[in-house]
Amino acid sequence: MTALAWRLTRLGGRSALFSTGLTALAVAVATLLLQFAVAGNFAFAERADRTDWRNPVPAEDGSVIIATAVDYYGPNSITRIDLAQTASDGLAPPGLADFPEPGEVWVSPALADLLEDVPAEDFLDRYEGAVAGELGDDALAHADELVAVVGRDLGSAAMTGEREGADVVSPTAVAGFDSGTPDIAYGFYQILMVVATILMAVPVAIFGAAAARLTVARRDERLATLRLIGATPGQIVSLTLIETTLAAISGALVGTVAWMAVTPLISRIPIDGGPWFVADLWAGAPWMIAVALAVPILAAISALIGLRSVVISPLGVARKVKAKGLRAIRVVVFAVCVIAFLIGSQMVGGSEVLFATIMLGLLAACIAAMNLMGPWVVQMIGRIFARTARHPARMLAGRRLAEDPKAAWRAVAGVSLAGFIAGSIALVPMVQTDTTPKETETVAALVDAEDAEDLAALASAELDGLADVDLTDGVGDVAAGDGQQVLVATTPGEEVEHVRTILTTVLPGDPPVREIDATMLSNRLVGSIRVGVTVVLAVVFATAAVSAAISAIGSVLDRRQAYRLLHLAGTPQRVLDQARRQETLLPLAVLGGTATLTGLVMTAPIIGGMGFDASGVLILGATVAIGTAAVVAAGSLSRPLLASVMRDVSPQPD
Amino acid sequence: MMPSTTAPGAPPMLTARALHKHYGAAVALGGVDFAVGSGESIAVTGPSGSGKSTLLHCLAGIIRPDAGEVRLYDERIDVLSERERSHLRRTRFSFLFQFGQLLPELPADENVALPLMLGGMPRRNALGPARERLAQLGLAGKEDRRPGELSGGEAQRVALARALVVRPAVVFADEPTGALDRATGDQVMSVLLQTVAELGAALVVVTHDPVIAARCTRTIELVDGRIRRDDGSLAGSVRAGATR
Repeated sequence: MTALAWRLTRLGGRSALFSTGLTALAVAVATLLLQFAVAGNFAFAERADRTDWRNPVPAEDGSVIIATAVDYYGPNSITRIDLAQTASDGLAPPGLADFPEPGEVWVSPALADLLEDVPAEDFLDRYEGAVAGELGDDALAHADELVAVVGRDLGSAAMTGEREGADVVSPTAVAGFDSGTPDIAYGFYQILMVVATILMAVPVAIFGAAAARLTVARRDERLATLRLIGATPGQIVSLTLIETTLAAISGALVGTVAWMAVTPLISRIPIDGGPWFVADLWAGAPWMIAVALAVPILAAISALIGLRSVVISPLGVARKVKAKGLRAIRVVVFAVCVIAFLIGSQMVGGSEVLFATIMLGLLAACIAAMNLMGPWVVQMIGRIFARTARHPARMLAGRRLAEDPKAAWRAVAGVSLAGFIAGSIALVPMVQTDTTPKETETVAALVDAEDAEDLAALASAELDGLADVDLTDGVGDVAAGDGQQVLVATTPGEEVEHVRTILTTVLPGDPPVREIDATMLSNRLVGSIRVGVTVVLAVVFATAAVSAAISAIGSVLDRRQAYRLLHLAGTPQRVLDQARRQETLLPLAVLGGTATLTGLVMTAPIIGGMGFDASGVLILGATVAIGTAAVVAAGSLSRPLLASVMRDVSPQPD
Repeated sequence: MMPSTTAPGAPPMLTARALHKHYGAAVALGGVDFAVGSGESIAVTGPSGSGKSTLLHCLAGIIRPDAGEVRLYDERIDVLSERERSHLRRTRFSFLFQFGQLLPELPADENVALPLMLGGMPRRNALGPARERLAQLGLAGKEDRRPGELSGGEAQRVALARALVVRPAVVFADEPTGALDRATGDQVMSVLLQTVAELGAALVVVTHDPVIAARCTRTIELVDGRIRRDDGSLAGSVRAGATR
């Protein structure tokens, strides 16, 4: 049977090979993008695993004391890990060969580069030591991470003072660095990554499924002929499945190999402050195989669904009976999903994980339901235009839409989903605050009320006129709790790092911060989201453009007989091109517009509260422009094919 | 020089001289002369691969001959641009094939109205004559049916209505009854011949079927791209003209 299927493909002529090749190509693209979406989820876990040693499990009798802090230098934030040990038992933190001696400062390569031209009094003196060397990659989240590991004396102020900053560790005894608690930021990123995966994978899967049916559609008539000469339904199913699956397997292989080949490129995408180690993208290697296996299976299932009509009614396909009307229930399903999402977004509470899971599920359901609603809307548009058209191009377009709404939807599905996604994320605020020092800067740190006067005096003396020192109840986010005071130093902007360096050595506990320093974390998050949104939109658009091109090509091949005869009857290609353009642009305008608005409405209540800025409007505008251009370009790409199909007057119509 | 003398009552409308066409090394037409006049019907017969369809395509301006010329009245049509030939095919010629020439998504009346609309006529105006034609061919009440909902004979009559609605000068038919049973085929053929005669048009039919050929006013037989037999007086003069 496999031999026969292969023979049918090979001998099916150029068009059979062409459509099988198209299927394989489409599956390859879908596989590549799916591999990317899946790998992203593992990559964050890799970063989390690699950095969790910085917050190890506390152990009362541990020989290592660890504490962390965030130091700031200009617009950069540096993760500092202070280490001391009670007994030398050969423990070494990741990225280092030995436990750092007191006074040794180990810096990440990126920090070494940053500090190259920085005077010690502006930064390095904060650590009361000298750079001993560079940290290895296995200590770092990514190659651009700014990290310092500082060896300390057990009794030094740095190893005794409590630290109160967010996400930092006060001096804690631990037994080793093997396991720890990952930074909570990664939990957040991983949820975002799941959302991104859904936004990318659903359209990719829909597109891949449509591509799998391409072969089936192309073969409809021939399969019906086989059926007429007595092939059993089982034989038909096997023949087509073998053909499609062979194409899908080669596509999945090519896509996976292509993914492996582009990982070094993909790893350059900076998220959370820096690009990825290529190995991070390979963390899900077993899953890579799973994806490569799952794609052909999904393709086969999709082809099987597409085959139903042929198997059930060979005469029906051969005679091209009028398509059934689609039912309005499709719109209802979509509306229900959207409303459920809107209601859900108003009811935060209960178990947060469960809530997030439900909302993510609803989001995926909305996208899937849009795929259900699309053909129905296309059919309605088609009927309206067919009834009211005055000119042949519009009449042809309208009738075609009404007759085969699913095919027309396939051409615009990608861009409509892109519009939905762009609408959903357009409102995410993406303003990054400028954190470079101003003319006059203020740094503040928490101190114990008991020692406050002494520390203030000491600080004043050490600063030696560089800054004015005050004690207050709070400045900005630094607010004094019970038994605390806030030490504030005011200084000209160019001296702020020098002042910070002196204060860091004088004050125990958290290093002094500018009010604006706190926004650096959110800046990095916003930057990551901005990159993520761009990547998601790029993937979705790549999907949309390729699927529009493939469906345009497919539709020309499907209708080559009709085009040929229209050409014979003297129909100018201009009219056919016009009709084809209207076939895509009319549904695109209606569905793309609806989808974008729905996306906006759905997510507005969730992210609307986070503020609004113009970049969302820009992203939306670019989405609409690029999407429309992609569909139009896809159509014109198939114009030469249409021309050759039209002029093909070989005596034997196939 | 083209022949100036023609059969009585049949001034030459479409003429061709010394048509040559090659597909690679294969000779499809090896010097064919041809003429058809108003009200005339010519059956082109011959074995498979003898060049019948190629002749039809050359005459209809679908493909260009490698050598020779085709004239509609006095106008050379083989030298026209693709756009001009498309216009010609749309306005002066009509086509009828074995099957599959109707657009499956259009109802019968729109299928018939399409050529008129392509000529710039608004749909409302085009549907009138289209439905009239359908009614004349016995398809009243079936205007809204899709081709898939019609029988083979009905679909062929819709195609016929479409071929005739533009009042063509020449109708080209390629095995027009090939997919129909004898009785239905005869019926379609009768309507075709009768309407062509009424319109004063010319008909060129490619067919294997001797019964159909016998109903035409003239038959020519092609073998290996050359005319082997021509039973009409007109062709005699054409041949004389060509060899002169």
